[in-house]
Amino acid sequence: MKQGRTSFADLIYHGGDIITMDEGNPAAEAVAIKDGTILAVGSKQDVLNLQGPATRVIDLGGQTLLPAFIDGHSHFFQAAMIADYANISAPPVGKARSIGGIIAILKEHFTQRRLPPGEWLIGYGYDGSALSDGRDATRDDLDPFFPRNPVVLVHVSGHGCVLNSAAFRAVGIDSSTPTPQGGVTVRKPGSNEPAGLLMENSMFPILLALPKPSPQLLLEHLTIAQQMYASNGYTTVQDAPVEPKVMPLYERAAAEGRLFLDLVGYWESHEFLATAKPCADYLSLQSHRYRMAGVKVIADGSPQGRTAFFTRPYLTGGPGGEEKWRGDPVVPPEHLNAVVKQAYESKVQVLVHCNGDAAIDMLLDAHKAAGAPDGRRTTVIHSQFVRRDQLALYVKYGINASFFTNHAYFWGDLHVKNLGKERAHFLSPMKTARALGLHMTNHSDFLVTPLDPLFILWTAVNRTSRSGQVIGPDERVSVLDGLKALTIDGAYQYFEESRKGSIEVGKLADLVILTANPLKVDVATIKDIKVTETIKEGKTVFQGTS
Amino acid sequence: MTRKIAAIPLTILGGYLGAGKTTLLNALLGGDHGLRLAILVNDFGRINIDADLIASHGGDTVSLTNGCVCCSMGDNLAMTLLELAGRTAPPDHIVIEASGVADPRRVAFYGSAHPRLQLNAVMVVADAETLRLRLKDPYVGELVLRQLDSADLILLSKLDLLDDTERAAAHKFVREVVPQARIVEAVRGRVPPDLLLGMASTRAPACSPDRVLLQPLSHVPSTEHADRFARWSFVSERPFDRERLRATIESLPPSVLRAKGVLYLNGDRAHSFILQLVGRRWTLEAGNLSGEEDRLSRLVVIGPTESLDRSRLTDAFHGALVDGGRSRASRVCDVHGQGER
Repeated sequence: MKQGRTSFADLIYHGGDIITMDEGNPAAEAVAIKDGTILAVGSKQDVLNLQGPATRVIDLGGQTLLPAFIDGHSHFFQAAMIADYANISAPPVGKARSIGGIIAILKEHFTQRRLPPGEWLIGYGYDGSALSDGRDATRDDLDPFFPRNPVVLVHVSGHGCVLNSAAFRAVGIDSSTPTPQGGVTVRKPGSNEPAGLLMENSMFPILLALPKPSPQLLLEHLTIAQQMYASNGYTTVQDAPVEPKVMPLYERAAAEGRLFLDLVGYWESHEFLATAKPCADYLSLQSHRYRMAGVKVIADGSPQGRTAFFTRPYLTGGPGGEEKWRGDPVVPPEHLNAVVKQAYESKVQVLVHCNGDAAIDMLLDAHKAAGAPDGRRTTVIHSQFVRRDQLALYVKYGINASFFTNHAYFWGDLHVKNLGKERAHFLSPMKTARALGLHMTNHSDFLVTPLDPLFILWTAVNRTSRSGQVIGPDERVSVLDGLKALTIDGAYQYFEESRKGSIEVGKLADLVILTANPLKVDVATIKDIKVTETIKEGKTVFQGTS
Repeated sequence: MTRKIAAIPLTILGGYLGAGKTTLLNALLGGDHGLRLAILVNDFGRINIDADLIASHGGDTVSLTNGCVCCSMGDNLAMTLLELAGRTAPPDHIVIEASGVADPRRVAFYGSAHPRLQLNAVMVVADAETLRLRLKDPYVGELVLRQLDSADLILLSKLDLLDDTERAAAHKFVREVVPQARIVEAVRGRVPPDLLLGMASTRAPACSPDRVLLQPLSHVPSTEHADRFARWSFVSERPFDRERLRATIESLPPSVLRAKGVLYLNGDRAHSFILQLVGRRWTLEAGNLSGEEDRLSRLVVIGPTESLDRSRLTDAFHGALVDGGRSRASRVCDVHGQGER
């Protein structure tokens, strides 16, 4: 048994599988916690010796305990922005299968929030193509249920919305409003009256009219946002990049003690260069669970949008019909080079969003040009279409990858179509990366895909697309490797492997309890495993109903 | 002629990093053009606003004493544009600085985002000295070519660093990579505002005694402008033949950088036609008549002094008139910079 100095534990867990993620002590029967850190990990008998009169002893009842999940990459602030919105996504992201289903979700949301007349009711994740009705929702569907509140159903792409009559009135769009160029305004048959759906340029007036939460409300939303992450088993969350306007909000939240999870932010790259804040010790800005750990640069776009930057063209041309299209960088190489150089000089970490291999080439050039120093744990975010020769350079330069195997499910079929089987099947190549000894995490990129880490694990192990194709069978990883990417490798990415990521004596008692053991279930059912409890430094921050 | 609320013209200024966009924007901000410009930039850092000119400064916006504003857009181009367009006293003209890696055409898309905005022109600045090298860059070469191809006018900068041979070679090179390119030489960011932003429609050109509908800007251009760019004006009592006019406009030489006119077509007594030409792109839009117009066609062209072939233009537009211009009723005026001849 591994144990610290003899004293009574505050808390002991036993009675279920305990996955420690510690290679030297991979399985344990019980864990003891004191003062928010792990006191002991080992056999039930030995750990129970630390039970004192005030110790809470929890029987897991057959559930599984493991280190809490660490967010490899997401946009925490977006969770705060949608805190007041209803999730009207289609499965598996939400539960809306029909227009009736959307209305039911909205009604529940409306009742729960006790919205007064005139207040906006907003749903996110709307997708008309996924509805069993076979048509888009219209104002006539929504009006009977929401006569006095403007309702906006935001399209999953973010590029459109469906409004009810109250919302049309609120933004002043009616039969006499022309459709702007580059916009889509669906009108009722035989009439000019807008039916509900607005896309692209037609929705600009909505953007202006949507209520902006006050700073006070946003602060409250941060609690809801943390609850969203905690309910998914995360205790360390990321916001990269942090918009300059949001930083004071985080600082205030931290100072007021509103953070119960660890929030790690990364500077927006232009702001970083302009501010040139030196940060010799990346931990030095830590304050009540909030710290700025480095800078995030975005080098290219998205593969599903055909704006990721490749060395070889897309098979399907550009988003505007361009031929021989291979995407473009979204920042000049000069900018990337300057950011990497300054980050290395200030000794802060760099995260670089790169999806296409040409963007990765740009990053590797920038690293080299900045002197290729060791130990910086520069992390390529997504790194989806990395080539084998580039992975070898990751090893040489000590560069991490934060992969995104959820793409295999959500867009795997589309990638095969756009890029061909060879490139598509090598997306987020976790198995090859693991064999090379690379450090890698695997992320949600929330809001882009759902937070659920068991779903992320399921995609890493199965790589099944929506149509059921396996996108790169050779790159499916073991469940254990998939778990590492969500725990101990996450800690490593944050330079926190001495404090987090595994259940070991002295580390923080950041833990999660699952309904089943991912190492033991049929891999196809991993995504059905649920989080029942999340613990941050010995305190429960989420308790689900079991 | 009564008009509805005029749409705010939108000019997109694109071009790679270091091409000279900021120099040009600085010149515009401090320029003596009499326009209330709104200039949208990616970040304030490199804009050089004379402290004396600053009226107020708050958050994302700097307001100048000459009525111009400079806004830092951040991520929010659409919102910034909507806000400007919706003001009760909107700017006279909006200039958007596209990022160094942006496709200006995509940014121009926003010109149609609001009924009060109208795309005026896509300008792309290119550094004459480094262009060749830039087009070969494995990361940005294709992107830079696409930018040039998207331009109505290519503003060639840093020419003062080249001698005459190199200058000619730069022009030739640009025309090779972008066929039919319209090139404007921008020395230290100085391009005449009516070339960059378009000609306003207020006073009469000096040659016409009648009440007229179009005119060059009323300010006196600096010597630099007067030397490098010329205006050519055409007035005709005879209407144009529709097909011959189109053919003439389509075959205008690259030295015609801008053109604007109110023209009358044979056989159509119900409409006037507004010609707006910038570089390779032009429109001819029908305007309703109030009945008070004099039915005189008026046209102004701006081009580089050294290459603008006035007599060729005169012959071409004469030839597009309904009778081939055989009657001598049309008057041709040659207005060159300041003053009249």
